[in-house]
Amino acid sequence: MPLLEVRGLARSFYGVQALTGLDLDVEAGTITGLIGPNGAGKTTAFNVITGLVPPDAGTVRFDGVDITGLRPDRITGLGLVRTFQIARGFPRLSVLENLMLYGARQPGESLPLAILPSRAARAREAELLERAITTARRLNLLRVANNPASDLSGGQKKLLELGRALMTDPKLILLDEPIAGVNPTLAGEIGDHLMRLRDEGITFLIIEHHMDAIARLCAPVIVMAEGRKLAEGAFDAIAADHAVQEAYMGRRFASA
Amino acid sequence: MENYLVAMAVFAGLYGLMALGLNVIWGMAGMINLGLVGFMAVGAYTSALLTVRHATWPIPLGILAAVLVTATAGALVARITARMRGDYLAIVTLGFSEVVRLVAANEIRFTNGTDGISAIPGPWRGEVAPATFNLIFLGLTALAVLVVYLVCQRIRHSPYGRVLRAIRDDDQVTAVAGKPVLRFKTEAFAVGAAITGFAGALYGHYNAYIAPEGFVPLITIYVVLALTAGGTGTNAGAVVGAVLVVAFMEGTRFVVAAIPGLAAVQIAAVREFLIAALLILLLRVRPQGLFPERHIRHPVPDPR
Repeated sequence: MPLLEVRGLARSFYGVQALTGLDLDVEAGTITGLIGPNGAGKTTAFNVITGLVPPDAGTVRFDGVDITGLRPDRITGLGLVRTFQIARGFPRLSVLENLMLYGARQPGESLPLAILPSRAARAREAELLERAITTARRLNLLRVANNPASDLSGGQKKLLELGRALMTDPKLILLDEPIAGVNPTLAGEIGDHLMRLRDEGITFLIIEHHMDAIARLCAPVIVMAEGRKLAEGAFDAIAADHAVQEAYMGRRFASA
Repeated sequence: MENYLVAMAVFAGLYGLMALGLNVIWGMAGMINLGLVGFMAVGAYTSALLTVRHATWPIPLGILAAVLVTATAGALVARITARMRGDYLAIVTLGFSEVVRLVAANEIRFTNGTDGISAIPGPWRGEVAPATFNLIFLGLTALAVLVVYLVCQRIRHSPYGRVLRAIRDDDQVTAVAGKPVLRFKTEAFAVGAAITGFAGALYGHYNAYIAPEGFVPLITIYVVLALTAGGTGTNAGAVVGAVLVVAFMEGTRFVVAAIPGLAAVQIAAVREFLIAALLILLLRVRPQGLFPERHIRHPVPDPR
């Protein structure tokens, strides 16, 4: 059984059909790539899967549970977390606070315990701090750990996105363009991080336009076009696929 | 003159409380609330109606009831406006405070209408000299500000406050971080409203008289000005800003009176003008306030 199973997912916005019956599976232990031309519906698929946008039709099953239409915080609680394309987040929180925020099961997040903290809340806070420091160190963010997130470079923001997702103890992370706009050295480092995390048991579904990175990291690769799955397979097979080339480059009149 | 200064200090404390309340809602959680004076009115009327008009509860019980009723009202307003933000939230909350004022003015059997409620009891009023009563009330107000300040500091520095500040930056991403955003927004709104209602109840017991025309939107604007001047997001800023705003408002009274040849109406107009000019100047020169918010730091081991 796949870790993530999407069936017949449909969603339109004011008459524009962003998803038109998307079916896709993500097997546990893979870094699955999700590619496709602009407007294919990739980010909408992420938004619907993670509960930010309700679907018009279709189902999403994650780890054997039907999560269709659940609230985003519930979905994150089940072990499915996502990052955002334009490093969105909390510019006025420090890097450590950004990370600690994503920690689950903090009893101190109830109002009475905020005013009169319990021992459990303090202990959990210490745990989260330690975990955040470990994560920051791992992602080479420790030097900027107390800086507000707004002060980070573009590449550091991408790393912070990944770090925040890791703080939730996820089984599956959906990454929306984790290396777009990042210099080649850092892009390579992010790729290394992802492969190491996959080896540690985390599954990834990645939207990306960098074909080099896709070729290096992703197996299998799913191609989306016009709101549904067009093709799926190994990168080389996908790259040679005529229909995929047409989706990206447009159709030639003569062959129609 | 001493009595006047003590009275102004009490009002500064009450504005300080309301600025602390607004800081929870707007400064921490980022929700605009232009209906603050509505919660102040609900608090003032709740305690006054229960201690003099419809019952003779002891003052502390009346104040407690005021806090609970305004917290409930705040939670309801938060739920109703859950899907709104920015300008829409501003308009709806402003409308809420006007509705409260108009209900107070027109439900005559319940609130005595525009005649207001008089003879609201104050602690030891009548048993001690008026000057002593003033001082006692100043002490109580200062204690109230201190306690609420400490509670707000706890909230700001707790994991709970971290979630509120995250919601202020981006509520969708906060949901993805695994937090039930609506619950946090509702609670923050209720807490801020309760603090404001507490200030309103104290105002009634101090002033001994409340009427609908005492709860106009201008008061909300003064509180917003106080928080902006002090530094949105910081609790110390809220209190200091309130003291400064009251000092400035009262100070202009003397400055303007020194200008020769002004009629009473003109004096009032010049004061309003000065207050508006202060707000513009402040936002131009120091938009982050006197005590700009600093993000919270944690001890970190050496990066190597």
